[in-house]
Amino acid sequence: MLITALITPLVLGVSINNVQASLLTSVSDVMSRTKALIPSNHEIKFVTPPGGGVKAGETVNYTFPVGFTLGSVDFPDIDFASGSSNNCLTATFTEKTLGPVAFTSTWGGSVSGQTITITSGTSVIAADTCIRLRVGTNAVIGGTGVNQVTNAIAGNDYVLLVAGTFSDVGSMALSIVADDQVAVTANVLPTFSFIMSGLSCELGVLSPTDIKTCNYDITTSTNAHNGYTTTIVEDGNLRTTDGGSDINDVVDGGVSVTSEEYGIGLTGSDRAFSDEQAILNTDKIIASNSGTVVGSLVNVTHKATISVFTSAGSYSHTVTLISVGIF
Amino acid sequence: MSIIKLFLYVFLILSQLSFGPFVLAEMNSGNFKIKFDSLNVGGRDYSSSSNFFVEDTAGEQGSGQNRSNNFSSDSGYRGTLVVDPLFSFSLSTPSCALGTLTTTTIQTCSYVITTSTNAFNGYVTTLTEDGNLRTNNGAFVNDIVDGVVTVGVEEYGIGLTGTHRAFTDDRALTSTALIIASSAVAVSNSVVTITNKASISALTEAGLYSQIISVTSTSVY
Repeated sequence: MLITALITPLVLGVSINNVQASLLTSVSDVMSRTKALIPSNHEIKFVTPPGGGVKAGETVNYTFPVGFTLGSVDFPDIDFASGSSNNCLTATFTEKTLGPVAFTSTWGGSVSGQTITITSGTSVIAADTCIRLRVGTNAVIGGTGVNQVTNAIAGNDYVLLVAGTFSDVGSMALSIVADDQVAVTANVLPTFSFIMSGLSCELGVLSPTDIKTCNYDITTSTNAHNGYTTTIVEDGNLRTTDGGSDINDVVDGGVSVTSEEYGIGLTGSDRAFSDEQAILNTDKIIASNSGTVVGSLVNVTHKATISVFTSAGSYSHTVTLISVGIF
Repeated sequence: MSIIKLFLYVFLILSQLSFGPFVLAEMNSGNFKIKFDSLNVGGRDYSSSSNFFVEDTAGEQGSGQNRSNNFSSDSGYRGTLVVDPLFSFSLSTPSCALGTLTTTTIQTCSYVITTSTNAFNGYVTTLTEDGNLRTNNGAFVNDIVDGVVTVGVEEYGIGLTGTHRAFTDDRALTSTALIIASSAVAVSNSVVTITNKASISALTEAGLYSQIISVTSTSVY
């Protein structure tokens, strides 16, 4: 019996090969896309339990569900980091140097089938800390990753396993959907309004001793992307009925007493010029805006003065204003 | 000790040394069945020193996980019945048409997300926009900043309904993940409705506006 008592623990003692695994906590996988059969980045986190962690030479395996395709994913597409605490939301992460195989402080990153394996060389990760793995274009340490994991067909409860010789285990489920995006559309109809305050402009009796004026407002509203432009064009000079005489167009930027001059001046934030200019028989821009406007008001003032040589008579002409929204 | 006992112990020793642990067959009788039984001779609840901490066992045989489609049992010392992680997520529609925006109404469109998971820490669902609600020539509808989309003001945002909604006011979508729904515990058919809302002013540019919103849901175990 003494021999029995001694041998039994010895016999079964030599067969010890397992330290029972503890469960990882806060296990999650944030994917960039969850649509079926398209590439996606993954950010997988978990917290190692007290007494856990990753020791020198140990491995952490991330096994993706069947149906997901790792394709050309390799260690350059992977970042591996340890957190400063067991709170995966607030921890700051220290990235590990990854290579194809583990060597001293360089961690090995390899892919085989459905599994990404991270292997420690001589480095360790403390117990009760958050560990983060990034796979895809979100892996930026040592260069941005190129290859992503392709999602499986649409379905629920795809189980991703975390295990390895670091002894602890965890799992999470992923859901792949037919569409993971919403296309939002809306329409804004074009609007445009143009208002003139009057249809006539009476300069009255012209005199060589003063400047006669008359004015009207133009008001524009539009939601056109490129705003609007308003032009003025005359049917000819301000002239007598028989066309034998006219008032000279202003050419020096200002209608001056004692000179025979006729032109327009503008006020308003969208006016095209600030001096006084002649009206032409081709379109002259008098107001514009490069964006949307509401109630943009420009005042157009006609100004005339004469000299003692200006012929007597009744003068008139017609000006046409055109405003265009540019959508 | 009988010759037979001595022979059995010698056999046991040789078996362990030569072939490693036993693969134990299931134990059963007319009244019970243990798929994978466990035989222990050592270990303690917690072992520790200044350098390690372990919940250990020694000499355990036949332990490990047994899996099916719906559950797995972790046989052995401190073995547990492990329910497989479950997670389902659905999006009711991939489109949301606000129609013609006006200065006199708030245009809306909605979609529904439904989540179920047995994750211990529940789930988080986020929305991420690919840019503002915009036209091809760069015009966009301003994001809401005051908590509510108002008629006659150029504003665009989302509102939420549902038990697990993340906020109760109207908020702007962002180019970084915006949490719109979450639960700290497992849920069954958690429904959250997202309503996109837009209003414009007279200055809002004419055009066809669009954006893409990505929906991502993650369970946390």
